[in-house]
Amino acid sequence: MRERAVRSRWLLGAVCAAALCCVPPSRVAADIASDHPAAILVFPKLLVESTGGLDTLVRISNVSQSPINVYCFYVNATPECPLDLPGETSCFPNKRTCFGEFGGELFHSECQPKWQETDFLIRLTREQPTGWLVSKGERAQNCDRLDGVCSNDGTTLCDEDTPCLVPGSRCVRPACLPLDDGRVGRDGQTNTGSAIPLSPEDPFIGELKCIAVDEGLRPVARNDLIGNVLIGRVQAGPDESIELAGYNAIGIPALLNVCGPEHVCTLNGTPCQTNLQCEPTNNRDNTLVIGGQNVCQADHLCSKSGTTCALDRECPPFVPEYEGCPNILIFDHYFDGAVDQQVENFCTVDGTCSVTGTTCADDNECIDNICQEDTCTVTGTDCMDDGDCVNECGPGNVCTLSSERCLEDDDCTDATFQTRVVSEVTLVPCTEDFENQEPALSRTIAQFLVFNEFEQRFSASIDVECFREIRLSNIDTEQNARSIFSAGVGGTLTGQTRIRGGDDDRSGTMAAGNALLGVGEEFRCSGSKFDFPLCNFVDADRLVSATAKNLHIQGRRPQSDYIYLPEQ
Amino acid sequence: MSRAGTLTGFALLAVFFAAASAGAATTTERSASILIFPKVIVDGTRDTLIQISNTNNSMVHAHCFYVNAAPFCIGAGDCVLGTCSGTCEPQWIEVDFHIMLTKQQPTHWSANTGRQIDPAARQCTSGDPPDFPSNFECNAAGLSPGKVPPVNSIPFAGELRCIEVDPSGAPLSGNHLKGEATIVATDGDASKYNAVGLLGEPFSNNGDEILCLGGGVSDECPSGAEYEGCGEKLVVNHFAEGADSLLFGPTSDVATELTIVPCRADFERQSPTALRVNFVAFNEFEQLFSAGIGVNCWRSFFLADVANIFSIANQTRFVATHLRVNDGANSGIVGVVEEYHHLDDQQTRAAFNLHEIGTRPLTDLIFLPEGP
Repeated sequence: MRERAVRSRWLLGAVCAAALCCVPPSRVAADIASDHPAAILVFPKLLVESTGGLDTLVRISNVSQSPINVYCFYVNATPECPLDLPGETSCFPNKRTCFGEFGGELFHSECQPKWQETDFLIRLTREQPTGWLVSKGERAQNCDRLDGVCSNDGTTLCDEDTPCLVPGSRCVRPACLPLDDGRVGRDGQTNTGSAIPLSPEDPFIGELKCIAVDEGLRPVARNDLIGNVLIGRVQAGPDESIELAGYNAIGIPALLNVCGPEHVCTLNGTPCQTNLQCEPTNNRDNTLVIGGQNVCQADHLCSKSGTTCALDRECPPFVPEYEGCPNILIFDHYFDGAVDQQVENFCTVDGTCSVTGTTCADDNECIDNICQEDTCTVTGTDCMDDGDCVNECGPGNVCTLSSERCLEDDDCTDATFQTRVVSEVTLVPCTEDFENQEPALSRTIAQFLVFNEFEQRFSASIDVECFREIRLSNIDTEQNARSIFSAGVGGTLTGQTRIRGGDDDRSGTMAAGNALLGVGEEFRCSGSKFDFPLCNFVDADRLVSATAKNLHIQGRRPQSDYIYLPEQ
Repeated sequence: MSRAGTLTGFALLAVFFAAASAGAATTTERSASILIFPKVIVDGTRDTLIQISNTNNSMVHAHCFYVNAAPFCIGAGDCVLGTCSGTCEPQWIEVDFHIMLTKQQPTHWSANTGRQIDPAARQCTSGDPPDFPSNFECNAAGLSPGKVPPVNSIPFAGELRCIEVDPSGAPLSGNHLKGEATIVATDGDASKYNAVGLLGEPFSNNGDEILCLGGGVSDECPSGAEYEGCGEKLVVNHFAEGADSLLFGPTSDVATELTIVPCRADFERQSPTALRVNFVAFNEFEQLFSAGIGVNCWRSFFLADVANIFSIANQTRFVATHLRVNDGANSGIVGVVEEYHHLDDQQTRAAFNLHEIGTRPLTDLIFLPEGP
């Protein structure tokens, strides 16, 4: 191979020179990605439930040498119970129905979805990072004078005048953008004017979109923002536990028309010597055009220009303002209910079980359902002795713990410990109308195509209006064990699911590409062999751990998606 | 067509497409031809679950390499457990294997146990109908991707690299592979990240044993870049070391572990790639700090161990750190970051893929073993 290369080097040189002379204009831009800086950041899932110790930390950084203004929109998708009865059950985070009692009578209703935006501005100076809790927000004001608490005990108040005196302790203050009140960055830049509000409500579930803008809140084509999210839950008290999951914000890069090495502008191919000679394709109005092509439609009209055509190439090129949203999202996941055999509930040297934390003398006591302090260790049911923790065939031919139907004890699944996995996916549309608050514009059908490890294929679909967070095994049914996403039906431990936003013209506009973005989460739940795992950050009684991941993406939409900003 | 003519056409296409795709770099979200899992840990308390999928409608083959970089104790004891009586020397031992995936097939295995070929493996079943007993322990169910060996020793700390190949084993720019790794502790704590993917160039891959990542034409790379190059710069958004995790209150603290792998790998000569990584850290006051660290083949370290510039004593709570290799280094880097949040005696982790800016102008090489 080496010899061949040497012999042909002169030829390659000549060919390279010739080829470089006739290279076409290339679109020098990254794809939509969560691992590259971009002009629009999408955080598909934020969660707040202060009473349950659940909150979300958002981190954003400016990776450029110039300050940048970031115009952000919380989208509140917390479902509401329309009953308006005292003591009604909550719809949070994604319940379908709620119940309430009035005059001794039980009422129920369907939970109502919500779509409400709250916007705010952040000014980041050069290379500046920041972060805030969604439940608490952040300001740029008197950071040094904010009251804090000492890190050694978390209760002793401290401020500028009363520092923490315990060695190694420091004053922990709330999140704050510090360049204000006379403190400036190297080039005199400040965070003045930044104010991140509290989450629109508590509990809260929704998304965050942040867009690079100028002083007048007009969008700018600057791919300088990166971000990520940590969703955390702390359970205080004797059973203290903490869980954490993180994902990167999805970045939608602006398309930059720059002068390429071939002296042509990269987006429109006009001749140039400098970048200034390449006209920006971002017109900086309130309509952000995300992707799209001018293609010849079935009616022989070009989709963007409306000119007549027979072939796509007869339609003049169309240059959007931002890179297009993906055609397909890919989520590799455990099938719901599969056992994670890597997790072992064993008896540690300190006499507690490694996963459940119950006291133990040997490993069997961590696996078997035994009675401790009047509670069965695995099922959590009341007991007087170990006999009450055995799942056996009881009266009425129903198993005592699992409620399975039975004829004899062997028909009842034993109640030994297992750690099983369940996954959730959160989908948000690329298209959003923050001007008219019109969720119908974003409405689409998400099509799911599932492959198991036998290469067998299943499919399902679900409606996505403006935000959808759902357990995989609830996409096609309320009975999780019967879902095509459950391990019992899927047949293998893991699967690959391809998600595509379908064409849907119910909004009557056909204006949007109906593309989706999303994030996946994986929860490990403790329980008995007969318990289908249903834990997550909100229903966390049996939650062992959580992870989140960015979904893989494939292709681009030929249609444009749009974000409509509020008029200033 | 003469050989020169073929070569001319081949090179013309190569240069044409290399130019047309300029600007791309590694990806953690698109199907690719090379997957790098920078952090694979098997140490008795943690195991790593590898998931790889074929996103194509045809069968795909991949040649995978485990690289064990766990330090080896010259003396008695164990370096990972901190009981080594002598010196801990880094090692670089690779073990390779092949997998094949049918159309759209996902597969998985535990790095600790590998995956055996077990046609009799029980499928997962829900126990419905009742005379078909339920089973949710179905690790080996599915079409076998081939025998996947367990990691060659425990403790194992290193990387996994999988390269798409054709049925003969020649590298192929198919861009059909995606992957994830989940580091699971025996107590159930888990963190997950996407494999770093390198996109293959569609027309310039000559299928030999030298894989050319980015850059231009050279002796080793007569057709120029066969794969996208590695990033020019990596960026990590993180807490200062020892800072409170806002999520878990003022008495909590956070430690950040960064794992870095050179893009270059020489599996033929088994020679590790050594380079120096420079850090430039910016805090919320826009102040700048810098430090550096050597990386020999693979390195995983807490930021606190690099320099005290990352300590909360010297920093604000949030820090953005930019990483790059020295000018003239023979390799770029990829990596993954894991955050450890502590509250009292509790710990939880989350992993993130790193952000990347730009593409290295130089070529990074991967040398595959030529075989017997």
